[in-house]
Amino acid sequence: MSAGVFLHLAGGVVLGLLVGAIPGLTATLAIALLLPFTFTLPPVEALLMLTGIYVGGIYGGSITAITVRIPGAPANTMTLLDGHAMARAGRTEEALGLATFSSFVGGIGGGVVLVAFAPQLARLALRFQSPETFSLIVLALVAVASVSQGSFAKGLASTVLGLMLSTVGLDQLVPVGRFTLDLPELLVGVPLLPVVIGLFALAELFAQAGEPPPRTTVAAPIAWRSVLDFVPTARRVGAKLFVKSAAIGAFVGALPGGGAAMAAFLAYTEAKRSSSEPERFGTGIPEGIVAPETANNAMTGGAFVPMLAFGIPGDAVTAVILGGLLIQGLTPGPLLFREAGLVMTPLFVGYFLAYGLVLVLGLALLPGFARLATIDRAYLLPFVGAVALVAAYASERTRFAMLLTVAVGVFGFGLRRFGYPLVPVLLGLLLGRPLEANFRRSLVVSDNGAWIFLASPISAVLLAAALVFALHACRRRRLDERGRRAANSPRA
Amino acid sequence: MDRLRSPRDLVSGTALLALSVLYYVAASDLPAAEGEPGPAFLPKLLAAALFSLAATIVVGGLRGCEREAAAAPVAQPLLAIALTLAYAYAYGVAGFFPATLGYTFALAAVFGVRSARRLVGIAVATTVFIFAALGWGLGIPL
Repeated sequence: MSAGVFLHLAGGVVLGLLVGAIPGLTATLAIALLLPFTFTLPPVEALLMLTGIYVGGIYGGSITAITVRIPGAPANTMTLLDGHAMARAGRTEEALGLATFSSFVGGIGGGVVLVAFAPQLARLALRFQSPETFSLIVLALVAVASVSQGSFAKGLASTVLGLMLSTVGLDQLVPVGRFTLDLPELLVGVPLLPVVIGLFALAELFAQAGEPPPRTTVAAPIAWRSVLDFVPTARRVGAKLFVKSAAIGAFVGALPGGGAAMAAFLAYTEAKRSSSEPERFGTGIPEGIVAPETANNAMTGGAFVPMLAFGIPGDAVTAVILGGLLIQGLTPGPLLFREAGLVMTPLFVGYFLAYGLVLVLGLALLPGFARLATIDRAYLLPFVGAVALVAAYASERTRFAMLLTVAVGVFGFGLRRFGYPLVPVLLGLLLGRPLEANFRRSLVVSDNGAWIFLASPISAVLLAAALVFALHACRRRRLDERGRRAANSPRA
Repeated sequence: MDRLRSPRDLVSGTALLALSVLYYVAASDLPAAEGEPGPAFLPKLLAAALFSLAATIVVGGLRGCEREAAAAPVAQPLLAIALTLAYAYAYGVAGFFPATLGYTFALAAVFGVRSARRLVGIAVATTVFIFAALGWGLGIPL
């Protein structure tokens, strides 16, 4: 790996750490803003910088969760429970050191899964023809909608809205424009970058304008000499919890829609369930930090697996990174792995190096990062707004791109306000064209016979899995609603 | 038992119902194709799906079983949206520096900064930093 490539990776990790450590900013937002500027970079540098931001951002959110009780991202909510309790008991450095080390271990575990499974899955992808690819995309979209916040109907509605956006532009098989509103700029379809920036940067900014500033407790200064206090604690926790949490995280990451928050939640509940003292969780015990932080960082490696092998992103960040890959002209799948020396090998090496940087930089810079949590958002959000519009302009060099970004930002703000998730919209936009192309090609091959989707065993299994996800989501929502009705019903 | 409604679901569901109808009507103008479903097939399917989902959301809103939390204020977000829109226009007319200075100044005020000196400081620092990092550092024409 050349020095230049390493610097891009290191820069991405530092940026991710900074962004993750500031409440209200997320790795998704940072990647969305940076994406247009990676045009100017060679593909490997661009991909590694984005990976660095992802890795740094996932870890960085634990810092504010522990020091000022504000999770940097939903993935760090479980860490907050025991992490902040430890900080209140005067063990801040130990808690932060544990979070850093757990992130490192989880990330390495996720990396092992990535290296072991991504090439194998990519080879499996060679057996996928149009019906199988269509069914896989259906499964991915249903799975993401089923785990999104809010009702399942709203998750599906967001997905459908994204799919509708993907139909804008020239049809893939018949030379006719669809839903272009007579705008020549839309003949090539809705451009990806304005949608990414609008949904994840501007919508966030508009939403924060309506929210009061987060109430932060002033973080106690971190003593640099104490950041290694975690070492004997990590030894006492033992390797078993680390390994189990990493396995949970990597598995969840590989599921479409899995996400870091789900990984952290599942690992925490499993650690509590299997503990001999479950009642101590939430009072400030090391296991309450180790489990979620190991899992949510292992998730990053797992999330890359379906994204690289099939072009199916595992979460919001990998969805945006997938957009970055496509913009660079890199198509996920077996071909990407065939050219391993050009892209995949640097990515795998870079991923492990990124977590090495997280460990070293995280421990070395903890005192500084902890102060970032108290930065007033009034200083940051104007910067975010300006960079968002500059990034939109840089992506297409047209005012139309800027206006479209604002329009999507308003749309995303509206969706958030009414309780609709945003990630399915992006996934619908990204996967809509391949979904339609594979669907229509399948029907051409089968002479318009829908049986083709069930005739292939792989396709049938994938569609059945999509149905199981949908039924499970409906059942879970019905149980939740019954519980809420019982809680809200007036006493007799 | 009191029936509590979810106005947000009613409003959003109704909007989606209208959108699905408009989308279906627009899709109906698309030509058919020989030997394959054609460019109108998926859009019509999506319109039908959205209509069903929107109806579900509306029904859920009518039956709403929990009191909705009070909606966050909308005035500040609308102001932020208006400023951002104005920035997009002004960028093309006045150029990067004036537009960005004005936008960051105004947006910092929306987020609660009251001191004039701080407002100017935020505007200048942000504009200079963006120019240095992106315009000069990455060579991106602003």
